[in-house]
Amino acid sequence: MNKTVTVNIGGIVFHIDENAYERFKAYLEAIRVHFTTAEGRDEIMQDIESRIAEMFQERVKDSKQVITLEDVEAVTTVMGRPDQFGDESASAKEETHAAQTAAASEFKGQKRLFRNPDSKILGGVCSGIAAYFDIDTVWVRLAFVIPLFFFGSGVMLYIILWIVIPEAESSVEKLQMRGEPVNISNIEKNVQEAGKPKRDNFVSRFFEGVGQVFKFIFLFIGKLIAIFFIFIGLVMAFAMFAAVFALFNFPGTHYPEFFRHVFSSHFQFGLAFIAAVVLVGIPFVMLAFSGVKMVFNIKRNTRFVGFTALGLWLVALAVCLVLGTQLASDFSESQSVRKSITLMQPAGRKLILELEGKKANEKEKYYDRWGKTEFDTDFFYSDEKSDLHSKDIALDIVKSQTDSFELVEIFYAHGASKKEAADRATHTTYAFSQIDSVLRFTRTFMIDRNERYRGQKMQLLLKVPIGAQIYLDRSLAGFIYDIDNVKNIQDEDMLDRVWVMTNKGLACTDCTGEEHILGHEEDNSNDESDINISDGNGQVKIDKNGVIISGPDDEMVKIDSNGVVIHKNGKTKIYKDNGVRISVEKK
Amino acid sequence: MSSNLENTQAQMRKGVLEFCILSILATEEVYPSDIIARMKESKLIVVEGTLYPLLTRLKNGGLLQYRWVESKSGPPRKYYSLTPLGQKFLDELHTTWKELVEAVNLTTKKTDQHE
Repeated sequence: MNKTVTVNIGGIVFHIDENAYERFKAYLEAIRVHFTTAEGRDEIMQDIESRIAEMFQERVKDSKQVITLEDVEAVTTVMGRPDQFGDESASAKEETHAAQTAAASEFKGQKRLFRNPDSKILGGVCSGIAAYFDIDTVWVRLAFVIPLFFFGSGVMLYIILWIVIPEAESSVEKLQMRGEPVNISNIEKNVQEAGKPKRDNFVSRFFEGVGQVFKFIFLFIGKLIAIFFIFIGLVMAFAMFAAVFALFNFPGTHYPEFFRHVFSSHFQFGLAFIAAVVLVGIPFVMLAFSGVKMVFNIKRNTRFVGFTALGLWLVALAVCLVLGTQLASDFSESQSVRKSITLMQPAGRKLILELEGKKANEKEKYYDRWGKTEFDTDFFYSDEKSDLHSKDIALDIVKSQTDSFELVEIFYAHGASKKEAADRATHTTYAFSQIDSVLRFTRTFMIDRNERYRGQKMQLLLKVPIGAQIYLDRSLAGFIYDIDNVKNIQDEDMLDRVWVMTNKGLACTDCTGEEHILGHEEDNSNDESDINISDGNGQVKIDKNGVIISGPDDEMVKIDSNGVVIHKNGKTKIYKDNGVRISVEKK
Repeated sequence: MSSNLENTQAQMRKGVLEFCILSILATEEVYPSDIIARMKESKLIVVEGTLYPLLTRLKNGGLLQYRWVESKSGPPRKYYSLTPLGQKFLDELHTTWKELVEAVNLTTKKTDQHE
């Protein structure tokens, strides 16, 4: 029994025994090498192949359909070995192309470094090097293995050489590896020897065993890494799938609603969403893909897949960058809008401040910290069609300039221009209620449903007239922010206390003395000679250095030993030694 | 010594090889196998492999032309014939050959007489 190979010779299909095929291949290769320098080599080869096909055809009958080794031998005898051809190629060249012939002969004797596939333990690196320097392979192998037991540095070198040095694949390359001249007899010899195994002595068998162990370890580690890749890739893909599902399908979620408030249009939102999924997803998909390739040892060229993925990823990156820049430009300017409301004056000049209790169903509908972004706030919708609620709101309490309670609402917003920002700030509403002496705040302000979210936030200022009292309910925890008081008691400890507004600020009427004091401002409050009036609109501060009057929009007049400085609308004027003199008397 | 002899013989044969091939082609349009058959009779060619590079070189030199002919027993065959240039070339070779034969005869006879 003999395995056959199907070949196409001169356009005709032949079945040829495997051993005959090997011989025939070597024969053709020898001819090709023989005519290396001949003009029209391809045509000569074609002619010879056609003739051989014809001769094979004559030898094939219905009863004998396979070309055997005998046939090949008979045909090659008729056609002749290249050294019988006469020196047609060389002699024709000798006179005219002496240089070329010289190059050819140089090529024939040239020695090149290859990995030896016929005598290999891992990659055939050592035997290739041994062949190149014409020494016994054992010494090269020892040179790699012995350092392994001391510092293992040979491993990296070996792997690098394995990658860098090409494997000797053809007979010609194998001859070049050994530095033998490339001619017909050597090629034929090489082909005949190729089939025979070369393992002969104990040492090489030992190395072979060691090689098998290392090969197994390398493969094992490789597969482990590959499985890890697949695992990470699949987990991330699943996580993303779950995230997408969560975003769109779970009842009660309003993430897309919120994002619609961020993006200018549905199209922009969709685009950003797809780009983000692609941007994050592709690296993991490719990770899993390469893992699968490694585990199942798929050698197919997947460069196309790689380039496609890279292209998609870059497009997604570009889309994200463009959208990101667009959004960022919408945050470039900031503006605020103020609205003062005179409250009903409560009986007994005492106001009780509360925060509206949370609705029962509210909790499941808003999302704490949907990501550490620059907003860092909480949003929710009370129902499907409502405005966007934002919790980015804080209450401060200051002294009133008049004789009545007043509430000032300050809305902040960002926009591409000051005008746009101011316009946007007006599209916000806040609701509170007052029943007699109870002033009840709501936890959120509302951004108009047709308005984009552009960093809107809100500040509430409660102006309390001197002599009036307020009580801060416990429900206000987290709602009040940095309320100044004469003792500098921190916000949490201001709750559940009654405060009276004095000339110097809020003073506690029923404090126990256990309240936590904000340390850093202690010095200021102890300085009795200072006058510090502040109401959120502006501030007048007189101390040993001079006078500072500042307004809400950064206007400032400063009088001190340097002269008079007026700062308004971003411009600063300085009047110095102009008749104005402040002299400070030291205590 | 023997390799020198072989080399000289090969050189001599090669010189006349081209002349003989052109002569065969001068009478009729032929297929390489026919040429080989004729040449083998006269022992000028031992193996077929010699012929193909020679034909290709002559064709590239403009001395030969060929046409494709369908074959029942294999791939299409190239049938070669002389070009006008080849005919002229052959005529000149004829003249040279005659001169050469005379010269050789003359020289070898003289040498024979000397011995």
